[in-house]
This record gives sequence, structure tokens and C-alpha cells, in this order.
Amino acid sequence: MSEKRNKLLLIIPAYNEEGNIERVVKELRENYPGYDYVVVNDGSKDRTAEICRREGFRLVSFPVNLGLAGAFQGGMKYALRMGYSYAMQYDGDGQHDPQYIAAMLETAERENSDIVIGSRFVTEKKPWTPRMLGSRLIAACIAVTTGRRIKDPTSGMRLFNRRMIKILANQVNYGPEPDTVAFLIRCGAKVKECQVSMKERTAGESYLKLGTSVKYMVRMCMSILVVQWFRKKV
Amino acid sequence: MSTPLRIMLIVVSVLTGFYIRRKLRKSQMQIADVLFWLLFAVVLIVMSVFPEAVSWFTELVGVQSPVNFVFLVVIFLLIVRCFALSVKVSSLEAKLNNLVEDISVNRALEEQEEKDPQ
Repeated sequence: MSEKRNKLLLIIPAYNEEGNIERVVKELRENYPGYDYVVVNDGSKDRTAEICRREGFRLVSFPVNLGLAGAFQGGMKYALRMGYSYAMQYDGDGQHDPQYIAAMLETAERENSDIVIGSRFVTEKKPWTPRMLGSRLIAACIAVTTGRRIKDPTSGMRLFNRRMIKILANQVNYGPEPDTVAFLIRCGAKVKECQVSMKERTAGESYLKLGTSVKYMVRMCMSILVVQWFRKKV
Repeated sequence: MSTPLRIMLIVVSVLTGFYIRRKLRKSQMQIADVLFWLLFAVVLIVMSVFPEAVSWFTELVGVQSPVNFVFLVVIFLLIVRCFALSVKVSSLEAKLNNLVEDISVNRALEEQEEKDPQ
């Protein structure tokens, strides 16, 4: 490779993101040329893959749709194979702001953390919206089972070190969700949070639709409170 | 157990048996999966042919009527099968995910190699 390979890989999961992906990656490449990235096209039915190929983006393209967990794991496999020391999920819809990546990476290295969460509520106060009520509930479940207070468990902006990459790339049931973070804490992972702010989506459709939120909450709480005790530690 | 019910169970079991045989011959099913359904059909036939045995078990476990005991056995077998299928679907899904991810990552690495030889 002509350019020197970095230690951090940004995994950009993309499902039907033709309206966003080009802008997101170009912004990233122009303003932050120091970060490596890979777009994981999760079997999109639109022109996501075509755009990535045309623009010469680094791309892992699935022939079928596996869902966010599959796309995330595919990215982790790529990170593992390419020998990256750190990998983080970076949303293709432009929610995540790259200006905070440096601080997160710096935290991971300084604190020797396994996971660094880009958290909206380290210094900021958590608002009392229905969505944040869900966040509070999940945080409470995590606090009860692990004793750790995670201020923003639902943030998708999470940075993992190589030890975590190995687990996330190869094990079943380690999707990019709060229950995975909770279980990894119980397995002895060191977690830190780093203040970030997030942008609203500009186009396309989110993985988390409104109707599914309640189902999601129930699944997360059950997973954190009950299922975790049956799982084999890594 | 009434005679019509016994006849019905036997007829259905025999028909199921033939259907399973056809599926197996056309290689649409694996032997391991066929075994369960054959066993299921045999259990139904045995219960229809020997209603005294069913009555004996019914009294032993304290169920009101033999037909309820037949239902209980059928429900139990189906739940076990349903759980086994759930396990299988989970494992198939995990394998499929792994395959798709591995193949796609490998292909991406190959493409990268071609574009950008080290």
C-alpha cells in the first residue's frame, strides 16, 4: 500500500445509503485523511455499492442483507485480517462527527481501555425525552448487573481495541448493541466514555425505526438482566 | 379412545409414512430429519392399535381421558421438535452470516491486492 497504514479503522455499515455514503466518505477523506475506513455494504438494493466502486472507496460488499450486526462483524473481520489495533463503528448516515475520533483514540491509548464509547452525556445532561427514557432503562440494567454506570449505552459510536476486535470478529451474539458492552464488562473489559455530540440524520432510513424501539428495549433489558447469566464468558 | 379417532390416527400416520418415503427418495430430506417423523408416525400407530396401553398410562399419570393423554404425547413431541428446529435455525443463521462475511472480506482483500500491490 502506498500510504502508511494507520492503527485505527473506521467501519462504515451501509444499507441503502446511496443518498449519504458519497458525502460521508468524501468528507471523511478530505478532512481526516489520517483515518482508514472501510464501507460495509450490507446487501443494499440501491446503488450504494456502485457508488463506492465508482469512487474507489474501500469496500466490503455483502451479496445479501445480514442486518447491522452482520455488517459490523464483517467490518471487524476486515479489521482483524488487516491487522488494525483499533476499530470503531462510524455510521454511514452522517450521525457521527469525526472531530471526536482523535479524542476517543487518545483515551483508548492513554487509559489502555478495551472499549471507548463516544458518549453524548459525560458532561452534558441527558434530556427527558421518550428515547432517553429507554437509554436510562438500559443504563440502569447495566448498572445493576455490572456495577458500572454507562452514561450513553445506546451510542453507536464505540471504539474497540485489538483484544475486543478478535472477539467481535469471530464470536456469535456480539452485535453492536448495549448488551454486548454489558457482557464484555462482565468479562473484564475496561470501558471509558468520551464526550461527543451527534448530528441528526440527513437522508435515508435508520436501522432503528420508531415502531421497533419498544421491542428493542425489551430485548436489550432481557438480554442484559437475564440471558447474560447463561452465557459463556470470553 | 373412540374407534373413529383410532382409524383416523392410523390413516394419517400411514399417509405420512408414504409422504416421508417419497421425500426421502427424491432426496429432499436428510435421514436424520426423516427419523423423527417416522418415529412420530409409529408412535401414533402404536397408540391407535393398542388403546389399552394408552388407557393404562392415562390412569397411571391421572389424566381424565385417554384421548387427552394422546394429545399430551403429541404436544410434547412437537414442542421438542420445535425447540430442536429453533436451535438449528439459529446455527444455520450463524453459519450463513459467517460465510457471507468471510467471503466478502476475502473478496475485498483480493480486490485491494489487485488495485494496490504491495
